[in-house]
Amino acid sequence: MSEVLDRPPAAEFTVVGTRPVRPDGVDKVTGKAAYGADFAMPGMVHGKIKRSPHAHARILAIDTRKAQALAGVKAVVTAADFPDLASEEYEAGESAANLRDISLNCMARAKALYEGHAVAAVAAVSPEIAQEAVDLIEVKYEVLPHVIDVEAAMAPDAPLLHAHMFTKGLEQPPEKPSNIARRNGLSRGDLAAGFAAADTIIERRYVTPAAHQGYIEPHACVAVMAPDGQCQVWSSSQGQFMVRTYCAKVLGLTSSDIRVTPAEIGGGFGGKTTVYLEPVALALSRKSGAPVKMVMSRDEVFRATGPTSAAVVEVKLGAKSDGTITAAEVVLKYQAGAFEGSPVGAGSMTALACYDIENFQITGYDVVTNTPKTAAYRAPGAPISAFAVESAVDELALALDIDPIALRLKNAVRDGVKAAYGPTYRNIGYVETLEAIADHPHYRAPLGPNQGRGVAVGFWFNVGGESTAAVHVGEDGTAVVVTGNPDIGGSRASMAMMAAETLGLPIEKVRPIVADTAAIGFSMLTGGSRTTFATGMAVTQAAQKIVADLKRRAAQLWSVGEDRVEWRDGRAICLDPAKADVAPLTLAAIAAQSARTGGPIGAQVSLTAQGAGPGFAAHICDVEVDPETGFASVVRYTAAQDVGKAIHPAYVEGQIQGGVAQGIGWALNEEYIFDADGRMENPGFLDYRMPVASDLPMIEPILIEVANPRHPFGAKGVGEAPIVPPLAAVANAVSRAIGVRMATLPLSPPRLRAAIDAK
Amino acid sequence: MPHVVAADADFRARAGGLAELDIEADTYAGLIDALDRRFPGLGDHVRRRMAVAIDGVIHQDPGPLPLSPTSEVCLIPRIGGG
Repeated sequence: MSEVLDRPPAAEFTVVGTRPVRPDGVDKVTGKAAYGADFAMPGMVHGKIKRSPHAHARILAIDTRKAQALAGVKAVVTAADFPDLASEEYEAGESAANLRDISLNCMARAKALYEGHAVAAVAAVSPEIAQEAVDLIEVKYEVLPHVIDVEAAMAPDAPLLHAHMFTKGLEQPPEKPSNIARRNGLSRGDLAAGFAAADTIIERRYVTPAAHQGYIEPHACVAVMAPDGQCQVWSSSQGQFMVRTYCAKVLGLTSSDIRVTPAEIGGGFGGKTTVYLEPVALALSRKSGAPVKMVMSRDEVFRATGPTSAAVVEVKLGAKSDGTITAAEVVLKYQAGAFEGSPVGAGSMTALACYDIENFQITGYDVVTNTPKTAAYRAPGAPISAFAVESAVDELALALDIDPIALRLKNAVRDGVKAAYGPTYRNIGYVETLEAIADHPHYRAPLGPNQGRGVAVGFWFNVGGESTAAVHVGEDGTAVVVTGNPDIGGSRASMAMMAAETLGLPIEKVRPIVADTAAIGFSMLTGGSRTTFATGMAVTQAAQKIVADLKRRAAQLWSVGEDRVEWRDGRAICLDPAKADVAPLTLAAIAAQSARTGGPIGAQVSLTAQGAGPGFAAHICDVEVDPETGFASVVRYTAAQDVGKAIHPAYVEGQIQGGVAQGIGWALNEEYIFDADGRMENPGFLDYRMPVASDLPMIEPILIEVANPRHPFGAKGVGEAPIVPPLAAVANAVSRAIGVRMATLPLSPPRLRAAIDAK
Repeated sequence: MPHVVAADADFRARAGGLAELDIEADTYAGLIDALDRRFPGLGDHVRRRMAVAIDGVIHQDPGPLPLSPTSEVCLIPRIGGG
């Protein structure tokens, strides 16, 4: 466990806070970066998946004989080739996941639970032959009634996905199974008294569609199992250790027999925090004896990998005429997909996290449906609940005729306030973010015809967790920083910068590397906005160990006590008055003599990082709505966020801009559309419309730096808070532009046109 | 003695409906052991499924972290992320 610092970091830094060129930049702009699909091995064969065409069906028989007889086919696997795991929760990603569910999601057993669910897989000498063999597999199904809509799935007479699922979290154990996996609740105060004290009450139901993380790079891997059971996997994921553990558990292997090398990752956003292909590829390799490459198509990514939940959220707010919110009631119903585990817990905890409210009740429902199992998506659950609560707060501001920022400031959480989810806030910068947007020229700029302005805020916890980092000094005085976290948002740069700052080296002399599972100690996956905070803490402590070692070595070379040596600006300075004429020793000079002072210079630190600081964001959005077509476009966007300390400000700004862009897409266009049989109708980027650069204005980020005293440089996680406010910021802007409260996303032209017509 | 607050329905179900209670302990690990003695099985639930905020600072698996008699120990469902 790491020490929990509680002091302000130094105000001035040499490297931290600057904007050096990204260490992975050349590879990426020249197309040399090796992503999951770029790997190849001699003798490699190609794997393809047979997927269920039905949203819900019993698998009566799978006949693979024709596929196996096809020339060029090397292996066929079904669930019979995987151990039938017992239900067991296991920690490997970020939090406990059920191994049986992960296994069943990789390969269906007995029932297909969504269209696209894997039921068999083939390995063949070419992708074309593999696909031909997939088509030759005959699966006999008994089609069952299905349910997609979250509220329909909660109904007592809904088709049941899992006969063994009984709702958890109820006062009395239920007697019948249900699609409601869990009910959670948070409450404080006296809700009835709070509403009784209100002068105005706002009550509304909000609906959000399933939205995919939309990473550009589809899931891809190459896996090989040798005859002695030794395995290697190259794959694109957010955590090579997560891949190792899940492969071991799903296939009944030993972790130390699996070496996972992280490929460059072309986007994850939470969607690559689990496995889909890797265990299947290993199973095919075990059977065929050859390395197996598997690459999903975009169609497969949409049909078979986790989007985030579709949801219904009901909000009731009560306030006095001066704007004081006296009570809040929030009911959240989140689609989990085929297996339990929607982000409704986080949605519940974040729903009122920005507000200091005396009386509230929050109830969340985790509901299974015949849709792909949801996966984490940037601040999982929070944008959905924020859309509902922030829309209600906007409606409250209009009802009370109070400025929406002033209303939020009046009810804002501050240091010392007990968060709705429990703890007492410390060192938060929420009020500062609100004040930043209130003071920004954007907020006072005049609006044009058919334009509206929306404001919304958001919160994300940020987390720490287990990380390992090593720093090695070369004989020429350069350094290599080795971590176990895939770089999904600029962590290589920030790791190198924190090491450079600590060692006193220029950033150009520090090279960051993301290592495989055999080359570095365990790290939790990259997610939860944890890497710059937690792994950065490990890097900093490893560099501090090296500095201590360098001082010891300099003292040895000078024959003085270690307390007579100071490390300053990358050099050892001799403080001994008797050695006044001794020139400082640079890191390079000490490294060149390492053989005489104890051998190679390096240090490794493994820790569980504690004390992550929460992130708050406050956004302003201007939209223009074409009253003829109902087409809404974002014309100006400003996003303020408490980032603690921006290690590399350009990357932090990029995180904010990226989160906002994804949130705008979710608000305006993105949705899963299913036909009457539960089949997705828009599994491609032509029909599932994500925003591209030409759809968006320049998103202006404002970095608010309220330092986290529990990090050596004051850092807080930054990657997730920026996607929390945009859904509501856009919807509030649209609602004000057209004069109709828009409570269902996406705000597509047909929906806006209908709302305008119905006025 | 440290004051325990739990924002989790599963905790309350295992703790006889209690959402807040005082537990004599001078470390976090000792507190969880004490909870488990009072409500068998609760300690394992907390270790496996919950994070904790101690005096406002979120921790995961803080183990022997010292507690003061006035510590606020807020148990919350474990947090992941994207």
